[in-house]
Amino acid sequence: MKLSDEQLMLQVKKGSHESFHELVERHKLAVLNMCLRFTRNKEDAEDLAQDVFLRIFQAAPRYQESALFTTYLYRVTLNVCLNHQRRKKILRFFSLNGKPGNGSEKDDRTPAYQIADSNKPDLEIEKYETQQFVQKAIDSLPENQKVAVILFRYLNLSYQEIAEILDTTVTAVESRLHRAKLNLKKKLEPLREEFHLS
Amino acid sequence: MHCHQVRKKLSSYQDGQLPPTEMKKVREHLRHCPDCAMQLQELESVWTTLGKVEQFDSAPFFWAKLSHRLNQTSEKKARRQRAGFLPRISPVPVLAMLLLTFSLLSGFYLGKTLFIYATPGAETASGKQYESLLAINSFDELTDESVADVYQSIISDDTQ
Repeated sequence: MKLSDEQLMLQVKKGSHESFHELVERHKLAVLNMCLRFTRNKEDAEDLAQDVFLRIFQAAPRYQESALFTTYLYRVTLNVCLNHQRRKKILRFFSLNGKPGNGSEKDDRTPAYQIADSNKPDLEIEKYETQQFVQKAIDSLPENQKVAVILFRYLNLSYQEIAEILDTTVTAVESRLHRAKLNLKKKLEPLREEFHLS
Repeated sequence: MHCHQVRKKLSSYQDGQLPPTEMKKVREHLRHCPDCAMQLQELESVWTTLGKVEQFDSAPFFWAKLSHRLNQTSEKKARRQRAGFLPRISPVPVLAMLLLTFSLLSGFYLGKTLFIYATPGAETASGKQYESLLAINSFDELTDESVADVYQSIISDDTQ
């Protein structure tokens, strides 16, 4: 019989690595994709996701089944991602070359291997540019709206679940998403015109 | 429902988060209002566009890397426990202290050694007289000569 996340976590609390492995396999993609929305490159996202699971494992002895495991997991993920983002902002502020950068030269270059492997390099470049444009639009949102969008759009959580993770009300979540959509509509307009997106 | 009421609820309607009765009312309104229907379509377009981002579809080596990190963390913890109640001391300040102590001791030793060679001590007669001049003991018997006389005799010895 398949154990629930909470039951598995209680096993991890007793020291079970197999249960922890099972939890990681169940939730790694959700955590990775959430981290990717904050880092914009897969290597950093993977490092952050590992930090998340490491924290979960180290805190296992203190785990209490007071809420859904996913609420706890996404809250930890959010904290790790937001701390990462704040550290990068500070580093960017004190950047010696005086140019604002996001700390990674990789971000604005089209992955060469994608173009090299593709039969249609132009389409790959277009796809990559679209991805970057959309990601920049998300990044330009105020933090609370960005978080709400990521949790709803990419993790498919309900307003209630998001409210629990963010320790706020459903009305506040609704309001943040509504404002985020209006902001995104303005920012994505050039993309829709250029690529005739539906 | 009026348009301004519907537009406030369009986002939640799109997300399927309204209570069933309100969902029904909004749906009814959208059937007859092309402007609100257009607004909804634009919101849906935004949501569709957000799907065009890079995503992880798989991460086959994730557990292997995480497992390695977990083992490293466990080993560090075990090493600390084996060290018992010894406080974790960073090597850098310890090395700095040792270097400082060594420098001070070297300084004292060198200062003392160089001072001995620098003073005109045992080698010359005048050196001996300097020493005797400096080593006046209050319990010694006073000589007939004054300090100035002794000094004069030292100078005249040196110039000869």
